[in-house]
Amino acid sequence: MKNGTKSVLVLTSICLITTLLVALTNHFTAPVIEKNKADAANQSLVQVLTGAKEFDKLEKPADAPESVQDIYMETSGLGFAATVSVTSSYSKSPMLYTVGVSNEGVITGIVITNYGETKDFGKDTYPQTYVGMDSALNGAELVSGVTYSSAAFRQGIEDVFAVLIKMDLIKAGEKSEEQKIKELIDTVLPGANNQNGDAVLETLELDVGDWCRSVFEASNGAGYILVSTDGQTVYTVNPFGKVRAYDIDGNDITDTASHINDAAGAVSNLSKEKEASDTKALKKLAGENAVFTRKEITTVSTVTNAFVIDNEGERLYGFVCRPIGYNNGVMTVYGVLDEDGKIKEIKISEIILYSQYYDDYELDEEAYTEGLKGKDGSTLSEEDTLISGATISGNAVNKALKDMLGAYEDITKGGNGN
Amino acid sequence: MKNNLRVLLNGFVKENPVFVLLLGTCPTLATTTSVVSALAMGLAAAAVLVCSNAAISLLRKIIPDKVRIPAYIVIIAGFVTVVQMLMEAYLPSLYEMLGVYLALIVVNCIVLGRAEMFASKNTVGASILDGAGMGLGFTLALLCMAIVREVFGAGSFAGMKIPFISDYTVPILVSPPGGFFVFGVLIALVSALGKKPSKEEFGCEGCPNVSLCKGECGKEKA
Repeated sequence: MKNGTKSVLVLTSICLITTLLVALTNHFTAPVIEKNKADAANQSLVQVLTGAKEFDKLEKPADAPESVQDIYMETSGLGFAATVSVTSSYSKSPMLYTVGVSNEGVITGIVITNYGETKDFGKDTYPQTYVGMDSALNGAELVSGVTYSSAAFRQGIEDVFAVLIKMDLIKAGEKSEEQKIKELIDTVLPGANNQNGDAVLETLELDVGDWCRSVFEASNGAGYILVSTDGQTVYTVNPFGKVRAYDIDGNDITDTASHINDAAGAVSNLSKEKEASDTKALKKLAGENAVFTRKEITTVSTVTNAFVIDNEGERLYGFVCRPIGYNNGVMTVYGVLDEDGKIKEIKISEIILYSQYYDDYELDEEAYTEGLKGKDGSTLSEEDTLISGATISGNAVNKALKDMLGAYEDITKGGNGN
Repeated sequence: MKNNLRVLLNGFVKENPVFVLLLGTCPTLATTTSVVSALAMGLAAAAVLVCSNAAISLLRKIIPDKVRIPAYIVIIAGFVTVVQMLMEAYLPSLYEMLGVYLALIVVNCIVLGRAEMFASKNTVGASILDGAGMGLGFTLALLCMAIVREVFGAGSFAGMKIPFISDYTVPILVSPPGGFFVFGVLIALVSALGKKPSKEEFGCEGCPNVSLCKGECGKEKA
């Protein structure tokens, strides 16, 4: 037998015998390992529900959020437990935790079984702040500086409650008035929302009158929020002075609300501050001799200024959008559209906010903005604005451009531009 | 009988794999922060050493020289996987404690070194004794390191707090620099206490690779 053939045969035989040995060991140890893992998982279930001994796994609804892995019911009827897996932009591995919920719908305990976030949100203390809360999660705060990880954690808890309520295992908790107002604001002033859907607002100290208890200004200038003294009505004023009113359940009551004019008057002088500087910036794009006429748009979005431009006989439309970018920073997108609503010129004051946080993006900013020219409402896609390695900034540009193209429709189709 | 005993005891001090041969430094530094993990790592490596030495010695006349290293690696990896599975099943807390270092026994120089230098040239019985001696010597070395590091670095022994000492710990000992420091001190100690090698032991005659280079390596350099 040749040496080479012998080598192959011997090595192959050794591999086969070793594989058999490993397979045989696996045959005996695999069930024990499985049982160990199940016991470990069961241990976290027992920890989150005091007095619990055994659990039955329930079948979760088909449309349950992916974050909710499994739902368990304590066999003696003490309550429920759920295993959760969530990730954030800063996850090295999924954050795994187990939540215990009593029959009354109150969180009895939370145990984190894997924490792979780059920053610690206080994994020994923060989850415990949720114990005792019901599905309303009244008082559940995010951790400053670890916003994404704590938001992912809270979202997982919300998902667990949503599933338990959907399965008719618990009743929904009653939300406080403050919570309802906060959620309403997030809905009615979308232009002020960050990537998590939370409105980024600043409180204004304005003496508006007895009818109003608080005034907020969107940090990006996308509008104002005024809350009535009884907390039952929320007024939104867009940068163009258009007011809408909503009741606490989110119903539009603009036609019947009693302080529409008061709300408009309260912030009328504030929203015109940026007109001059915006016109100057747009002139560089449209032409130094262009004549600007400010237009009012009715929608609430990231558009903070809109103009019809007459550039030596050519009809153009100019917009300034201020989307919320990375870390709640405000970006500014200047755009000039041609008569057909196609992007003619565009300038983004700072595409990558806080660039020190990004170390793996590659972007030729000139080529990026050049690639957006000629797009209109029907051709602009998310891929056009995507910035690999800086997704949040790319998403913010996309939102601004969609709002810009929507504002163009508002002006032209609504007859405002003619 | 006397020769067998000498083979067994060789690994304890005279040819201690850690303090004399300076092999297996990575697991030595990584797992000696606690006595329990050091003991577990030492015994796991010893089990692999005994089994792989036995298997390699048994197959030494069958395995062609050309493929001996891949063959040894496959055999060692097989035994390490078996030990891993057994530990995960029956000693899960130790398995968690050792983590990736358990799998890294595959590339531990001691195991491959004994396979190449001893098991491939000696009988099964002698190879088992050599594996046991080297494995226990490795365990002993890890234990010595771990006792110093855990007792004086963390103020505990096998997780149990030691009164008085726990109030005056030297935390750097349980960190990597402290590990290197203790390692160096123990090597120096073993070297100072050990018998000085004779000319034959120190020169080419005492080199384990003499059969491969036939005393030519020094001349080539010159």
